[in-house]
Amino acid sequence: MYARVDSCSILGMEVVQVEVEVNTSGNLPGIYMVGLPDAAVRESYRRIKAAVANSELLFCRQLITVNLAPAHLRKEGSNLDLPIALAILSVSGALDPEALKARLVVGELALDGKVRGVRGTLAMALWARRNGREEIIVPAQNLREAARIQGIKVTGVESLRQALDYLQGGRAFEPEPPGEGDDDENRPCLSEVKGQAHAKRALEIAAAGFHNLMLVGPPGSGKSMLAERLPGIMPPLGDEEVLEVASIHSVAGMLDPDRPLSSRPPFRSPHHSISHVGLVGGGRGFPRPGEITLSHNGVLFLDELPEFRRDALEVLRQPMESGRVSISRSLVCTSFPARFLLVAGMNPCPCGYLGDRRRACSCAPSRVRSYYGRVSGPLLDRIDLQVEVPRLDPRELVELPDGEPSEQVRERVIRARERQEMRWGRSGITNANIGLPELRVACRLGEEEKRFMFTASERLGLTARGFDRCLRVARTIADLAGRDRVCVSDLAEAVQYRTLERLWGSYVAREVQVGSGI
Amino acid sequence: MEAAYKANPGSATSGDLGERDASLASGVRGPEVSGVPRDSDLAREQKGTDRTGEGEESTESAYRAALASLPGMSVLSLPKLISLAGGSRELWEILARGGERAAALAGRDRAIVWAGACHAKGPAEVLEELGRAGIRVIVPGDGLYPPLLASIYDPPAVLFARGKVPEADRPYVAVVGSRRASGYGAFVAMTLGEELARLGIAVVSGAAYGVDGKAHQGCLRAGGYTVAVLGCGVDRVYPPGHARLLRQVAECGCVLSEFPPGTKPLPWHFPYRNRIIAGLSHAVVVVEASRKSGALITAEIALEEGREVMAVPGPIGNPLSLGTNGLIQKGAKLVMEIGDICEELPWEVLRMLGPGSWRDKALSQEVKEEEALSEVEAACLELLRGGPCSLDRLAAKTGQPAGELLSCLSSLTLRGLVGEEAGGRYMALPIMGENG
Repeated sequence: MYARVDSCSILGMEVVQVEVEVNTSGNLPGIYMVGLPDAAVRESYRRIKAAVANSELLFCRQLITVNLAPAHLRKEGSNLDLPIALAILSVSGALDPEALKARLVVGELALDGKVRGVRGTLAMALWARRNGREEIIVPAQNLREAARIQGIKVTGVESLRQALDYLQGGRAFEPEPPGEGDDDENRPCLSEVKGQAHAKRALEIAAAGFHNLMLVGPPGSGKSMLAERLPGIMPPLGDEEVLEVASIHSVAGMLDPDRPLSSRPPFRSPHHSISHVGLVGGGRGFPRPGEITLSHNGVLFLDELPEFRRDALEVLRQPMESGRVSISRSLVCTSFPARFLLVAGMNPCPCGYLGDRRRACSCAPSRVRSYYGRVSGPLLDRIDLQVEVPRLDPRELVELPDGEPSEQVRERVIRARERQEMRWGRSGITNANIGLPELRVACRLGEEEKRFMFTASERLGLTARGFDRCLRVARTIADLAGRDRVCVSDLAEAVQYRTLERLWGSYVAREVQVGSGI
Repeated sequence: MEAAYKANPGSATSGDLGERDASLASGVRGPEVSGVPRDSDLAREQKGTDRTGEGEESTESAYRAALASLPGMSVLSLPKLISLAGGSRELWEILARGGERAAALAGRDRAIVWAGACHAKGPAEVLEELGRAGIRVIVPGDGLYPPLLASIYDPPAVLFARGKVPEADRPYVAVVGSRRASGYGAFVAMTLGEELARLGIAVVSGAAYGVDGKAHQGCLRAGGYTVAVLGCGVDRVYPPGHARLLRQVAECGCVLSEFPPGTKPLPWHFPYRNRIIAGLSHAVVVVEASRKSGALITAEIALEEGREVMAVPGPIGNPLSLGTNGLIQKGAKLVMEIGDICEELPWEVLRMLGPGSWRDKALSQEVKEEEALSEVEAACLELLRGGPCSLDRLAAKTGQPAGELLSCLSSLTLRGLVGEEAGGRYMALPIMGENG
């Protein structure tokens, strides 16, 4: 006897089709599982046997051969339990093989016959729709997630028994009509941060131009608070981006079941002990997405940047440039999307109190130097905005007025993004990642502007790279103001975001430049 | 005090050693620390010692350079040993010969090490190596040794120099201070360095981060002559962030040290270096110093040697002004502008600047052109004159958006009216030299 069920499996970030074939022969009970199953798949036999028994069904008493095609790909995870069980039940006559046609089945089995949730159902449903499937059967737990994909029938099953009944014409869980979840609920608002006008303005520019940002300030000055509020002022994700982000998070098993298709840009803030594999992706077996992929289209906040392992930071450089990360291993070579906005937080010195008014810094200059030296130049070069976040007095905390709420800022940011899309003609291209020749054309400087930049680079010690970065930032500032031309005041504001270069020149730069500002 | 300024090269070797000689046995220095040489080396080098003698002066500098380069030779015990032995050549010969005499002078263990080192490399070779590395050796009595330095209590027995050797024909003023200078201190040091250079006064400092480095930078920017005194060998780059600065000082000024090339910058070298900074200078200006700053050691030595000590005041309560304000409280001259320094220099020193009074020269320098300020810029400047301010406070007081204010602050910075401090605060820069 022979039966076949279509299913799919997640390999890294991709969904691959898996055909589960079952054949029975002879009279000596046993099972062979072929087609490169990994440990979790091979163990599924034990779960299936118990689940079938506990569902009061009869298990096939013949020699079973399970083949997972295509045979050359390694299959991972427990989501093949349900399709294998259904195929086995089908060969033993409990189910009509015709019922399984044109349906895609995924799900893990518990010993008592219940169906457990699996990760990646949203991505699977998306894949199924693209490949012209009519229906996908998922665990009931994942129903809300998978049902967000329109144009394909999604059915949820709670147990093996229910799956069997449904396939024989019974009823199963139908998805509820998707409720429009309000994304703005519980979103931290920018007005909750007192003062910090410089940093808030930098956040606005960062959101508008997708510029990377560095916040330098003593402990407790509100760096994390500010960074957390950045997604709130970024434009909501477009439909394509929402699906892309949701399927990444679904594959990683990190999708919020209440808000699977959120248009809010993701925010990730890994601890500084993270390994480079955790950051960019990889790992044993098939590569998994790392933090930079999880923050795709959103914000990656690295607090205490110099404390991160050097190798972990260095691997960020290529993805920051290309928006994708390629991972090559002996068995596979894959690439994940990774277009993220980097927000780095760091203390001004190892003890954290350099420049603080009320607490003296206890670091020797050489220590401060080596602290800054831990962040490599090439990484620093890719951070367009650097601002200091001073600690506020308790008095200032009371006196200073609340700032603008996030919505107001976001309005301006959205308008600035629209201007950029009009100019560059493509969505997803911003001032931060447009090619240099195009940028030069868009920021043609007049005589006065050229004179200003000349004086600025001389007096403030701007490097050639710093100059380009200033130009990009100035372009975004002009976009925020709704100006077509970049004028002197935009450039003047832009140089204020090169804090590290100006203030810590002797610490950051390899050598001090004679003739650079104070 | 007059006598202190007089050149007195003869006294250089005869100083009795006082209580500062605590570190006679301290410090293993240089890469050439070696054990007893092999026999073949011994035989070869025996001849080497006799090769010297092109002239009296070069012999003296060769011997002194070679003696200073002996492993574990402390900078304070060297002049003492030379005077005990009756001359540097005599000392070398005693050490090379070894035996009871050398042991009596240097102690038994070091006599053995030094005898080996003496045979490993002769004075002529040492001098030749230094010459190849572009390092000059200056010894008392060779006409290059700064007379002002020779007059201090314990002048160095030998100096190693890269660049133009300091000459006695101009005034020297030391500008020293904290390594952790604030924006204010950095600005003052830079401005003083620049203005001293414009008047033709040489700036002496220690090439450290902070005030020292900024003083050198200011001086170089105005095309002046500056001397950087190091606490390590002149071939070493310390602090590492000042590699380029040191290169420029060696080009346009002089990098000086009493430590032989290759010496590491060990912590206890720096007080010794400070005595040279004070000794080289007619006056010492302390710009920013905490209560325990090394700059105060320099000031103290300068006082002992009868040099002028001046200080730039800072706001009370700031730990970085405790040292300088304390000096002023004890009677040091308060420096507000370049004229305050010049006034204190003795007449015969000021005469070196050439005809015309320094006042005319200081005044003839470029007058800052007053450009028209915009309304917001004027408001910002007004607020900042009342003390350093964060952007938040400026925004709260002026009611302007952050972007606008930042752009104003940039243009004020470029005009030299506003500076930045660590901690995201802006300050109005003092206008120096306007009421001079």
